[in-house]
Amino acid sequence: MDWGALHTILGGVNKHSTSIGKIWLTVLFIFRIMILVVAAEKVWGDEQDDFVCNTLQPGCKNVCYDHFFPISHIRLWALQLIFVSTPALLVAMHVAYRRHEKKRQFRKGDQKCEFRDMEEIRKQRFRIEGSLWWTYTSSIFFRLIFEAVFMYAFYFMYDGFRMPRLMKCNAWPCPNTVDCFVSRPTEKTVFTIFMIAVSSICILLNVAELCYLLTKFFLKRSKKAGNSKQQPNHENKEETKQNEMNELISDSCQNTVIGFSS
Amino acid sequence: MDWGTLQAVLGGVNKHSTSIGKIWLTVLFIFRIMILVVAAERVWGDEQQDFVCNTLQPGCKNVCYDHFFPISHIRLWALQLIFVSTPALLVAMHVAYRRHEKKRRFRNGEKIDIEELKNEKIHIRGPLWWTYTSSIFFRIVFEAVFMYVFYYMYDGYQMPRLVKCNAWPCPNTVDCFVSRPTEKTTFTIFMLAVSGICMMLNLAELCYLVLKICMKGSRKTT
Repeated sequence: MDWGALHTILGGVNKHSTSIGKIWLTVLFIFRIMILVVAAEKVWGDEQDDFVCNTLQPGCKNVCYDHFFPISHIRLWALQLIFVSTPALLVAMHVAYRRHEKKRQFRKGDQKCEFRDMEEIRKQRFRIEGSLWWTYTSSIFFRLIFEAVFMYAFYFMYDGFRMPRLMKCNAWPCPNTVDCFVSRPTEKTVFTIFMIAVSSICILLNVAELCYLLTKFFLKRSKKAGNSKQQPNHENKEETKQNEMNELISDSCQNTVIGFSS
Repeated sequence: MDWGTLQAVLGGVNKHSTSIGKIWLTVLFIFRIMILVVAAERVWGDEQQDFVCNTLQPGCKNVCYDHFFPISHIRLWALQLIFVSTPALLVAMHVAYRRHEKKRRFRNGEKIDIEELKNEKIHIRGPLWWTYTSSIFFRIVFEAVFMYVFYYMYDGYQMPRLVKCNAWPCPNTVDCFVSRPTEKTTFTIFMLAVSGICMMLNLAELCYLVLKICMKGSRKTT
């Protein structure tokens, strides 16, 4: 169970996302997880080995390191990425539930069921409407909350996003005050700022997706209200066209070589 | 999630590239990513362990290392390769969108064979030409930016054997010795050369695309 397995799990969710959701997933995998694995883990690899304190007192370095780095940046980022990816599973579960319902209908021989075979049910792409809309929107909301909470946790735990070169430590058993030097502080600061920037981009994408879904919902509602006044059963051609366009735009990345489609 | 996944992602773009684009992708994977993973990472592996300063002052080595190597070469190359590969995804998204359009027309009753559609090679024309050309332009910009950053950060492309450091808490001036400077210089120059080759391939591809459209334009008018 590693990042590759997460990639496989989330890949299937991609099919039922909006286009902004697909861009978000790409940014998550290429600019966050990949950078973490390929670069950041090596920068923090020797963080305790090369954390040097100006003292001969045994135990002082351990205590100072633990005092200044309660949770390592790398572990915080790994937790953040896992928590931020998990709400998408709600959507996957909801889609699986709907699919199961349709299979059950099909098996019972329901006349209303429009599918010819199980294969079609398996491949069907569900539109983001009704209860699925609520699930999808709440998953985006939770993603935003988790991103914000982790960014704040970083800021609070490390007093900002800069890694200092020198830390003055006076925890027991260190004698008086001891100078401790951090390994690779500049490189760490650069990567911290990079990850924060990409985190913010992801937050903006999520906010944009939330606004898009809310706008779509309200537009649909106002059109329905308008239609019910004129002709209750008349199919609004413009709405159908708009739905098709939205479907096109959301399907535009379905067959990309990212390989997310299951 | 590693270089192999990036290769899988970019592999599909290959089908819709020009022949120069295909050569560029091969050079990227074999001469840059593979060299990075298989060789360069080991050369820089012990960069901090074997960075030795002529002092007993605790913390001096850490501070001097940080002063002379703000971002390691390896990380800069990894970032460069990721940024340079990413514009190709724009092309992949555009191609997927076009394919979807054709499928929609097929569903609406137009006579198009679906198998043919899947295997069809989409020609670089119209809006796809603009997407493709802008992706090449961004690649060139990213390559140039990173090459400049390397030059600026390390005052050239040569790795010195000795660096003189007087950052606090080092007492006065301290001599610090870099680990494997000659091997690092060799690899830096190699990666720079391949970077240069990639830039030239991108420029050639850009010229080819621009010429193609100009010739098409002149043929239409005559």
